[in-house]
This record gives sequence, structure tokens and C-alpha cells, in this order.
Amino acid sequence: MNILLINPPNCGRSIPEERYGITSLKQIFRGEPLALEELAGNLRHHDVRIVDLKAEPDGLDQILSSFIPDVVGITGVTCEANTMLHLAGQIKKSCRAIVVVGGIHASNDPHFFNRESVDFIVMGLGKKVFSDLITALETGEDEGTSIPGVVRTTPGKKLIIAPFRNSEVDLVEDKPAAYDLVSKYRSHYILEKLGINMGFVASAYGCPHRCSFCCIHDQTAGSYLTKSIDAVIRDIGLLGDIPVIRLVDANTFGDIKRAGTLGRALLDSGLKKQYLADIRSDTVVRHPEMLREWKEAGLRAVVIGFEETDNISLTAMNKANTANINTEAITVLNEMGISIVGDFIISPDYDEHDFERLGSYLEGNRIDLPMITVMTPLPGTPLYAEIQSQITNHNLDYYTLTNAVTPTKLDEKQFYTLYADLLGKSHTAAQI
Amino acid sequence: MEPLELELLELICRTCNLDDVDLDTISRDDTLIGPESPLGIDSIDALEIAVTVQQEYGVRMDSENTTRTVLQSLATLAEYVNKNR
Repeated sequence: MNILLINPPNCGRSIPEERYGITSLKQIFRGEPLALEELAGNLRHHDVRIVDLKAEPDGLDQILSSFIPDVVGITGVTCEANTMLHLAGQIKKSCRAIVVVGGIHASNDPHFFNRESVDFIVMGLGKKVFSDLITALETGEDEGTSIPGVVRTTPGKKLIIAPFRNSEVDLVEDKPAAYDLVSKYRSHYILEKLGINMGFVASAYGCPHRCSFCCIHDQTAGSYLTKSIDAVIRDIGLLGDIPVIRLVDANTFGDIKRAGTLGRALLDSGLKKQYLADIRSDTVVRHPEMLREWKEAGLRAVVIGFEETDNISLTAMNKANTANINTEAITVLNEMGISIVGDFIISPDYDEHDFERLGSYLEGNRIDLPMITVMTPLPGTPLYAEIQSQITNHNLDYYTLTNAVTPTKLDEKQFYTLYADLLGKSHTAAQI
Repeated sequence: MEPLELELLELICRTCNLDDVDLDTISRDDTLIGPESPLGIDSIDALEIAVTVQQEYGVRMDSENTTRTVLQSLATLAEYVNKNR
């Protein structure tokens, strides 16, 4: 079959820019569409094309003029959901392809896609499920409706979603990601601060934790699934001479024994790459000896969700961590010479004192690249269920994590001005 | 109980917000962590204690194995602090 996989363009909208002319808070996503490359890796016996509209914004018309797809797959995160629907409508107008949506938003809020322009929704990890759907469509056996994780849309009627849970089988790890299908875009996939090429590799999926704001949990229904060490090493090798590898897992170190083995395998492999990976601060403090090995293997920087600077806020987020442990993790990483990309979440309830408090924390603790986002109730998360009634902005274009979609305590302009100032100050010496 | 052990017990109670613990009922060899602990300390509390001990006494537990061994009881914790500070 002819299959076209689409990565949506950068499409999030910005309240601070539109209302107050503050342009520094716009969210721009960079990096390769690894989820689509993984899907394509399990569809090698079909004619599969990937169009990355982030790298090539007018690429859809171009490819549709020369390639007639039987099936179109569209992925996306929450702030891309409207655009996914728009793209689906565009496809339906231009050809007779079956349209399938997947990705984080489709997994967390499948009802959003129960529209005429969408035929199927793939929930959770789609590598096996999407391939099974393609086979079912090709053979005409059953329209794919009996495949766990596949939902046939029923516009105007309630979606029927059978319970399912991904397992290691869904990783289809013997079929590597089709990195070759995005080779023409490769020059766009760079580590912005350094201007050097960066490749993505997935080594683990899901997260066993249940932070209230996080949308990862439902991707795997709470399971933590890992690729074998050999498959991870193979995938890194497939990226050739690309010097920096971003392990895009929600938590690369969720299984300590396996993480230790992977670190040693990276060292033994002689790959000589630099790595960026996500880790929890309590893992840093519990297992500095493991991180020393990873540092030797090439770990350049870690991404840590510190989120807040006090225990009350961390408990409210169900973070299962403490401010003291966060600070100790910073000390340990600073001593080891591992750079820190630190995620912080500001609440729309922030007042001047809260902005000052976070600013002082960032001044007093060496975090190489602070990433500051606004607490956003993403549909499907526990936070969404908790504060749904407070949401005043339901347009998902604004769910970029840099907009307040619930009322701000401060005057809105002042909130975004202080936010922009904080981000600006914390990025003056930013590096990774 | 030795003075350092009592000091550490008070530090633990302060760190873990254990306001209603009767210190006299805790002995130096009681299990500190896990379901058998009279203090009801879980693994994140244990890590918080390890960090606080490092900050207060300058003594770091540099692996999970060390933390687990040292935090067996007040006696083992006091011995480790005495030996390493």
C-alpha cells in the first residue's frame, strides 16, 4: 500500500504574542519525527513516505502531487490537535485515502478526533498496532476494528473504546526506525544552542509515576517498557556520524539495573557520541555511581523535571519527590560536570513573590538551561479532571505549555511580562 | 541512646514532618526504613534523610547500597556519621 505519514507544522499559538507583543514565549518544536520513523520501520514492505511539515511547511501539496496515498497517518501533541484535524480534512478533499491519527493527544483524548475527516484513531504505542491495521485494511478482513488500540471513528455517536494495554511486543524492536525516510530533512534537526546535528533514539516508553500534569502515563497505561540494550546500540549506530543523541524517553533511567547495563554498553560500544537523556532528581541522588559511568560513556546533559521549589507544590503535583532532593541532585550533577536542562512549571496563580522566588532559586542553583512552562491541564491528565471547570481557554492551539488557559491571579499582561523577564534572565548564560 | 543518635532521631523527625512521634519509644536498633519501621519511613523519606545528613554533617552516602546499609537503624547511621565526618 502507499502510506503517507505526516508530522504537523509548528502551529501553536501564543497569548503573550497576540495580546501583548511579547515574542519570547513562543513554543517551537524541533527534532525529527521519530514516532513516524518507528511506524515506518515496521512497514518496510509498503511504499511509505514521511513528510515533516516542521522542516518543510509546504511539503504536503508537493508530495500529494506525485504520490497517491491509500492511507495517511497523522501524529501530533495536544497543541497540534486542531492542525491534525485540518490536515485530515485537507487529505479527504484531495484524495480518497483512509486517515488515521495517533500520538499523545489521540491516546489521551481520542474523542476529540471522532470526526468525519478521521477514519481511525490509534491509541498508545502504534508501531505494531498501526501495522496490524494496515494489514487488515489491505486484506479487507475486518476494517481493523477488532485490533486492540485501534478505534473506528463514529462521528455523532459515542466512541467505543475497548480496554487495552501495550506490552514489549508493541515495541517491535527487531524493526528499527526508518531514519532514512527523513534524510532530506536531516540538516533541520540540530541542537539549537550549539548548531550541531542531533538524532533521536527511543530506548524506553512510558513512566511508572503519576504526576498530575503529565500526559505520558496513558501512552502505555502506566507500563514502563524498554528496548533491549542491543536494539538501542543498533539504533544509535544507524544514525551514523551524528554526534549528539537525544534519548527521547520520558525517563531513560526508570529501571536502574537496566540503565546501568545500558551505560556500560554505550561505553563498550566505542560509539563516542554525546547523549542527552531524561532522569528524575531522586534517581540522581540515589545512584550517582551509575551516572558516573554514563558520564564516561558520553552523557553530556540530563533533562530533569524539577517543576517547583517547594514541597507543598511538588506534593500537589503528585511528584513523589522533594525540593531538598532536587537541590542535592543539582549539586551532584554540577560536581560531575553533567549539564542540566531543568524543567520548571509556573502556575497561573503565580504572583510577584512567586516569580521572585523562582528567580532566586535559578540564581542560586546552577542549572545550565532552565525550561519554564505554564501549568497546563492537558486533556486526559489527572490535572485536567481536577481543574476542568476553571479552564477559560479551550482552544487547543494554545496548549503549548507557554500559555495560561486558566485565569491568572496577576493581571494577565503583568503575568506574561514577569514570565518573559524570568525566562530572559535565566537564559542569559544558558548552555548545554 | 547516645547523644548523636538522639540528635539524628530528632533530625529525622524534623525532616520527615513526624510531629507526633514519642521519641522515648524508639530504640537505637529499631529498623528505620520500610514497613517494620516504627517511624513509617518510606524510600523517598529515606533519600530526604540521606540528603539532610549530608547537608547537616557533611557526610555523603554515595550509592543506594550505602544508604540502605547506613539507614538500617539509628545506631548504624550514627556510626557512619561519626566515622565519616
